[in-house]
Amino acid sequence: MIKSIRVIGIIGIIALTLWSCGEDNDSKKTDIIEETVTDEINISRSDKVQYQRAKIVLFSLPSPMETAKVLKKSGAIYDSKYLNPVENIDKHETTKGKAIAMGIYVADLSYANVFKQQQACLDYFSVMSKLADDLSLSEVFTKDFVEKIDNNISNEDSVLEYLTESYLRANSELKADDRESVAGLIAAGGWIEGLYIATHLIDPNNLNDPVSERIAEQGASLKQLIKFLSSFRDDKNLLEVTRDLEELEKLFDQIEVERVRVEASTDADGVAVVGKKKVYKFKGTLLNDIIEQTKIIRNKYV
Amino acid sequence: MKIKNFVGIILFLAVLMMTIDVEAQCKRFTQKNCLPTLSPFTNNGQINSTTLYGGDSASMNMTFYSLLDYRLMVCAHPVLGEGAFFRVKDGDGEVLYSSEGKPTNYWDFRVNSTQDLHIDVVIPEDSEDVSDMPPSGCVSIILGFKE
Repeated sequence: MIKSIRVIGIIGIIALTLWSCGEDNDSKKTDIIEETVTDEINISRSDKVQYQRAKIVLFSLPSPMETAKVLKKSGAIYDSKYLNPVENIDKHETTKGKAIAMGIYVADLSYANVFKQQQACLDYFSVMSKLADDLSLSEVFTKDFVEKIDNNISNEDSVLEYLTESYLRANSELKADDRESVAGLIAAGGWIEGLYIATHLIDPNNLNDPVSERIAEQGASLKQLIKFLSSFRDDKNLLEVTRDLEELEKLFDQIEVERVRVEASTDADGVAVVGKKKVYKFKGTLLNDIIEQTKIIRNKYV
Repeated sequence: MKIKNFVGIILFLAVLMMTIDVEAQCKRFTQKNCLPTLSPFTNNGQINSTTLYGGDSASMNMTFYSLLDYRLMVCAHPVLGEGAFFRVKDGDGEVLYSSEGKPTNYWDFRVNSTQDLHIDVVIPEDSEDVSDMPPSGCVSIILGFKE
């Protein structure tokens, strides 16, 4: 009992000390050092070690913005018929549906932007703004931010910057509100749509199509995504989409991968080029099966 | 009993407020001190931040696409000292890079094929620090990409 009270006391002292160290407002200019935890708390190292957290494991997923860039570099073309029409926004009534739709539209906007489709970009920003409101994300599409988007929509780099900024703001706000599982649904929507677009830009009978390699590569991020979603154990909203992705994972696991060791090198710009080279092989109808399964899953959520 | 419950509630609220405030501080630190250094790379829309003590470590798996250039940055608050470093390993555990002893807190690279890499962030314990409580501070792992 005494030990428990001691632990609570220690936590309390740390809490109150840290809380009192915080800034009063965002605009206050504070020296970096002043923001940190001080070492004035009288707690022994042994106590600290005793209650220290386990090694921290963080998650990061490839963004739809990266996927779109990679697709374009692989020779993909723009075709709006593979994107989710903005009118579909009205189909979603639940938080789950809206969050996945948000991710899908982020992917569509990323794809439209790399092909400089200004009107499509504006339309997708508009539906994303509506979904952000519905998901109570008040810090994402502020009035000033929307004005900046409207004024710079013709500039691909600016659109990418604003899209990244809105994605970052949404992730940060959801984390701060302890709603990270919603961020997981957005990420899932973005990943599914990216794969769906890729599967429609490929000739399934041409296994030398570079986009087929892009599809095979998604197996790595799929595993990360499933791990991330599975970390929210009790969230029923994530169960269905996690199960859908696990079905897809079974197909991706059948892709044969040959790893070839390549010596690390440096390119002409001084950038390090590292890691093994991977060669993928789809056997039988596997590529078609992945394309078909992706279509089924994606169409459930648009 | 009532006093004990009251104290418990006060402590719970204090811990809750502390957590929110420390997260906000970490976010501000990252936005002010780390994101600007990412240029000319575009942030991938995610910042993984946490508060670490000297002697702590954190890890993360990330997927990197073969057709893009990346800047991987680990930004640690100065209170944690100069010794903070990160290591990047491939799926077979082979170390591809370590920032230990390097002058910059980022690494620019490209991968031969799309793959997951494992990142370990290490905050060494300061052996000269004789205080009872090791310092703690914000650590952010940030990724930027460009064509």
